[in-house]
Amino acid sequence: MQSSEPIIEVKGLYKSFNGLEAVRGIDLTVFRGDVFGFLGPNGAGKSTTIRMLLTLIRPTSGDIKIFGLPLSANRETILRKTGAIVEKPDLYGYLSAFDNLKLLGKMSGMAITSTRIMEVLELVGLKDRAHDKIKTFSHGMKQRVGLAQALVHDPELIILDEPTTGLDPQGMVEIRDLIFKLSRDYKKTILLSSHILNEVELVANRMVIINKGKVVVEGEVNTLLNSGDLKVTIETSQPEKARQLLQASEFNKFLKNDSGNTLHLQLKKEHIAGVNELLVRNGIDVSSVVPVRSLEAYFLNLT
Amino acid sequence: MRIYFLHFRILTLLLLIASPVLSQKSDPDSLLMRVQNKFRAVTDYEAEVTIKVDVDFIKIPLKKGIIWYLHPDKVKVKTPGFALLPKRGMNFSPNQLFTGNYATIYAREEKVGNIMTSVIKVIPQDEKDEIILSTLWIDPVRNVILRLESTTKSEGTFSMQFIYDAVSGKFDLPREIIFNFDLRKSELPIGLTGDFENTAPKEKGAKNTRGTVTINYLKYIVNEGKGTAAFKTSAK
Amino acid sequence: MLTLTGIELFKIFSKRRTYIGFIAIGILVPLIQVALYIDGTTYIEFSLQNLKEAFEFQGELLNGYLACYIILATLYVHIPFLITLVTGDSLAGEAAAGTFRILLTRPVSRTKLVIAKYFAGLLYTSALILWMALISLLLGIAIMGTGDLIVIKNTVYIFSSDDVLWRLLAAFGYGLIAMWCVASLSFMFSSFADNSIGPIILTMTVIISFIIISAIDLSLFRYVKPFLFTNYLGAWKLFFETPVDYNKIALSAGVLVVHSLLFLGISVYSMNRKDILT
Repeated sequence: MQSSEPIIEVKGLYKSFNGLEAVRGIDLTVFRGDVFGFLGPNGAGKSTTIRMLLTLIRPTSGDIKIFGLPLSANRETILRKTGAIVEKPDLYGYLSAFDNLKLLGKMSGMAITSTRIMEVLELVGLKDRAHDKIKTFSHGMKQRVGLAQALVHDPELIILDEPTTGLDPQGMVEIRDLIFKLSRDYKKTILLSSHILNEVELVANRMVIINKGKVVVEGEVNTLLNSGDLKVTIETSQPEKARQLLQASEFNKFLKNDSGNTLHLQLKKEHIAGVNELLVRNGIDVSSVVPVRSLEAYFLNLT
Repeated sequence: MRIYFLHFRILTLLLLIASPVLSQKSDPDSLLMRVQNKFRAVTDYEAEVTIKVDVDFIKIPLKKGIIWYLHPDKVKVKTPGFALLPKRGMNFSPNQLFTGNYATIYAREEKVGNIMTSVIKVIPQDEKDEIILSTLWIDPVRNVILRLESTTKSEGTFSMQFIYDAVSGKFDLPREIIFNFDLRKSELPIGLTGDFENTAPKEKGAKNTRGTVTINYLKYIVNEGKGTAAFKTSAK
Repeated sequence: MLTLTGIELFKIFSKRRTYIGFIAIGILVPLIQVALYIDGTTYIEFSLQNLKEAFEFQGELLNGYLACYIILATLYVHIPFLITLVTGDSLAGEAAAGTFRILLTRPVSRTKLVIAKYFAGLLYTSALILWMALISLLLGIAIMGTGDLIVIKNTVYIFSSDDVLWRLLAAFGYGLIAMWCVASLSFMFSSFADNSIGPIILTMTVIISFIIISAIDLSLFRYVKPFLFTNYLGAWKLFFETPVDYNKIALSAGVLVVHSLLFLGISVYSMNRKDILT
């Protein structure tokens, strides 16, 4: 489903607010068909970057091309083919879901029919509440109307900024399923920002992690997640004995030089079983073996 | 709203009291009598009037209306909308002037327009009278008053000028009366609306000014009971 | 542009606060009219007592036209508040509600959107003034009838009843231009702000303080006065003079229109420069 046609190309994007540098030279490329994870801890500059992609904020410097066109000069052409939710799903509370979609759809320069609006509302599971005022909706429902307004004009590119924030687990699953559906069935290109790796990992094929306004790593989710070693912590009641045992074994090189009740190892995934077996075979009670992927460890470090 | 047109009271009383006995030019009492006798022939009338107010701080359009008179001293004016009518004369207290408590003096002959008039001074004898002195210009041939001027103690002077058709009619009623009176600038009313912005700054120490009201009479209907009817239908 | 203005109007008239102005006028104006109907004659007599020393009055001065004039003159400071409630909210309200994020990510240029919102604001203002004109005139005439209008300035003007209606309509017309200017001012403040209370308070503060400066007759203020646009808001009163000084009215209207366009221009500029952070 992924192609090599770049949909979003960002180069050297920079933004400072009165000397406060929010984004410090971000580069990223999103290809057609990507579900692109845009990861970073809170305050990393995700939202500022997304707002710049949507022309809500003017970059201090840097280039943004979307659909191969410079953004600033082709704002309307680009936005016509783009749908987005940015942060909280704030809509016109005094209007019904239907009216919100109707006027936002109209503004997208398309003849939005009532059928189309109902179709989108059905997609997000709000068909029955179409004519209720938004202010009577729960957060989760608002989030779904937010998604609906991003989809109503059938955009090619969908930008979702923290779409699962504040949702219950059930709501998170629903949003995730919807993203799958949009990507798989409707062939949309999706940029999904989040501060939770797990959320991105489950749906994205490519991703970028940013921190303090800079890109830390960019690439295929699978490659990034599988590359490098795992960090493993082993808990046991006989840490010294275990440590000696491991030092004498083939796993010697993985063992971190430390003391205490937990053992830390850095090793490939396939070695975990072997380590565990060795310890158990020698009568050491292993209460837990916790693998932490390097990326996650890294990400947790950031957050 | 019914207004008794008090200037006409002045005129009426002048006519009622003036003695017609003596025809001597220099006898002021007989002159007044002749004037009175002439007017006494009119018991009531109705006429169309136009009222024009000339005061520098009042702008009101020319008003048309109807006036009714009923012997001896009832006058009523009615105009569509709102009209300003001269009021000086109420303070003038004409009753005192001509109820015997006054002295008349023949002053001189003087031309008013082309007409040679006899000028008579009327001086109230009562010290409390608001009027100090009134002067009348009387046409001794036609026996009508052409001009009246009064000086008051506190409200300046006011005058009335009577203009008649060139050819004497049966009743010889005036075609036009011009009222002229003193106005204090401070009589400018206070604003109705609590305005924030007044375009021009108010004149400091406003001087007194004079006001003129001109009333034209058209289409007199005399002694046909019109006046009686008018006062009957809307008697106060 | 028409669609956009239509959308903005739809939004304005879907909000409850929009009707505050209509309801306020719908209550206040009849209240003044009834009060005048009951007590107006005394009020007029009191006001004209000085004139009564020299003149006898013939006819009624209390009528629907006078009530309409009094309403116009007294509500002149209050109507801007009702207008600002909506126009001051126009941009700042979206910022406060966070809806700029969905609004300004539509394929519509900010300039167009701002102008559409501006027009919608002007149309709301027009509807409010029309509403005020309608009940001031129709209800006033229904209660008190028509008649000659007395207007007291440095000169006392009395207009024949057949000479009044056009003046009142022209005054409402001028009032419309004046209120457009007020709307423009609050719209401009709205473009700077992220909540709608700020622009509303700021607009009223500017108007009230300018009016106070205009009203205090001190030499410094007199020097400043021609440069305050509020000084031209009340030029509708020039229709109640004879002869009508059309040049002065046109000049005043011109000043207001130029101010309005300036306020719009600043709003457009400010919105185009604005980073949406809410």
